[in-house]
Amino acid sequence: MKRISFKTNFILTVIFVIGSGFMLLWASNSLGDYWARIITLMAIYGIMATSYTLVNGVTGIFSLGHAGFIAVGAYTAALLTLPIQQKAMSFFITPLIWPLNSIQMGFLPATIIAGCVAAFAAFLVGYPSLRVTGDYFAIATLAFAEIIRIVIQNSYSVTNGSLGLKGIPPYTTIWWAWGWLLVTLIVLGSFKFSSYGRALRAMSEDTVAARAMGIDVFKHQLMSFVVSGFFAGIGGALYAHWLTTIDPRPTSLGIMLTFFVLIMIVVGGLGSLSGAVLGAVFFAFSAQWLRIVESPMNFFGLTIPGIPGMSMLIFAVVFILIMLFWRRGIMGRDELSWQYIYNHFSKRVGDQD
Amino acid sequence: MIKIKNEKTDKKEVLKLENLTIKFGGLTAVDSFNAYINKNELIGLIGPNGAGKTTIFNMVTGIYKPSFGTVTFNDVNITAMAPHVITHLGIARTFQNIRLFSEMSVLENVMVAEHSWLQNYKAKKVLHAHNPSEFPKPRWKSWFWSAVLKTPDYLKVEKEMNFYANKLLSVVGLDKYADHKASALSYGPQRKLEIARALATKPSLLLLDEPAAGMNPQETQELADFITNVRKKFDITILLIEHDMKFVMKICERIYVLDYGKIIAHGVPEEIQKNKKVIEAYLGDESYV
Ligand SMILES: Nc1ncnc2c1ncn2[C@@H]1O[C@H](COP(=O)(O)OP(=O)(O)O)[C@@H](O)[C@H]1O
Ligand SMILES: [Mg+2]
Repeated sequence: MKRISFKTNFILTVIFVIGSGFMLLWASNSLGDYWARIITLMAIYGIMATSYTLVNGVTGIFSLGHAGFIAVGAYTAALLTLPIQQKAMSFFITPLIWPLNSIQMGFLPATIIAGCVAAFAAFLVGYPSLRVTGDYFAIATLAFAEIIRIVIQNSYSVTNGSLGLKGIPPYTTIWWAWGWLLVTLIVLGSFKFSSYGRALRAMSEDTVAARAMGIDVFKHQLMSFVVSGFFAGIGGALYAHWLTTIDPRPTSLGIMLTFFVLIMIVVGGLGSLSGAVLGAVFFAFSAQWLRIVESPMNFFGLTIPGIPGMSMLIFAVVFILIMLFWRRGIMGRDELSWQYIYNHFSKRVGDQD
Repeated sequence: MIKIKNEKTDKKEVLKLENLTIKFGGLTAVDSFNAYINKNELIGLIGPNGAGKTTIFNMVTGIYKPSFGTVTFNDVNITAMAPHVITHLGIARTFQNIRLFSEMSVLENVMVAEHSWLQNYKAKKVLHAHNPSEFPKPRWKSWFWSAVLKTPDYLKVEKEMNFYANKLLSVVGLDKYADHKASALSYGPQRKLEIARALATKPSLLLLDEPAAGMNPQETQELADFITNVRKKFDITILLIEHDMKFVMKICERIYVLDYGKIIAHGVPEEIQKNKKVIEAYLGDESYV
């Protein structure tokens, strides 16, 4: 087996990134607005999924609270970028509190602040939740995410409650989304392939052995949870400025979103960052495609009315089938690297003779 | 009970266990266990199945909190400290049922243990509190950002980790399997990898839980030489639990015998071999003799 050198790896990666940039340029110019939006969504999902797989896959703790941090990021960023007049108009039941009512800032600082606030929320949720393990942790994070959602729903003077936020500037372009995805992948990849990442992967296999090897399991789980929360917040910020309207219904920034992102990371292979991106691309794509089943159809003269929620049902079934028969997902725990491609390719060639 | 005099009183006591007791519900798994280990000794802990040997290891390494009694390591009271802090202080162990990180490569398994090099602030603080003149006040450094941003000082440590891990693997003869998954190794090499992994934390005391379990006589012989070698090469103190009497008799300098959580004998191998209580405890259990 040949090892691909660092230099080759680096050059190939730079070429790949530049090549992808041109692809995106072409897509945004010639595929039309509709597809440009879908391609943007792929990257947003990619950020949500990679940050989720860091916790659920790499670190091996099963959180169900991801949407909570996405919501925190979405609301934080939206409240920071919304034009002041728009805020005054939207908050007609209870006015928005100071200083939020007089702030309006650019997209980049708002996104970064959203990440930080979401990371802080992840710290507050993770600290007590990580005291328990396994199913209890999953339930605790699920409960906390629901608490976040209900707090948002009832804090009229901050979030506009169930009315939601409207008229969020549509800042999220292909470039912002894919640019942030690139940053996310670089940071999370660098984290995963460091001594810390090794510690996380070890913990995911055996916490007792990891402790005996000198790893402070709680501290590292919390660290992973907070880093994940940061990028969930970034994803949320981008999502809010893609949607332009957000509200605290369970189907928008609630458990449903966690479930979607869970499908992405399971399809991609739990623990694989590149797999999570592939899963996100797959999901964004098939969610569009599955809209067909929700619209009225004409079958040999027979008109079937559109069934709302049908695509959800199909996703749920697909999810169950994957869990039963294809646990590995696309990538398993591996990463899509040049070495990985080379190994697979050379194996294929080797098989033929 | 045979009392042997501690002739080498000038020798430094590495580990001291006093009245160590643990209860699980109604069961007293270990009852007032007393023991000491001097620097560079190779000590055996034997006893029938369920005697409480592994439980003693678990109390020393902080996995279980003793109901009563103290664990003193290099004059520091480490009773019920967190396992990772105890590891950073210099106690490393292997497990009776091999607990490797089976999805990770052989090299990575060793390097995981080296993560402790970046994490020993708390242990250094404990040492500083214990003896400020010998151990300087540690400075806290978060390696997290360095690791993510791949700063030069992090890359230097990473390189050292890689180098030392490879060195350890060649010492235990596993260097050619560095890239293999740990689960791909067969039983004997897995045991050796677990020892290499423990050594990677740079311990001064190594606890081995039944290292020869499941090995054939030839492998056991090899392992005996291996352990003796490791002790010399790493200038380390070893406490080992063993099933195989012959093995223990051969390599250990002193032996503690445990039965139903209590010490029934303590002495040099020749004394233990002749001890009535020990023979009784082992009677009818052919596998031990
Ligand atoms: N976590 C635990 N909970 C309850 N009982 C335990 C626990 N750990 C060990 N024991 C009991 O303590 C006794 C000693 O076990 P152990 O130390 O594993 O024996 P051995 O000498 O074979 O290593 C056994 O009876 C075992 O069932
Ligand atoms: Mg045991």
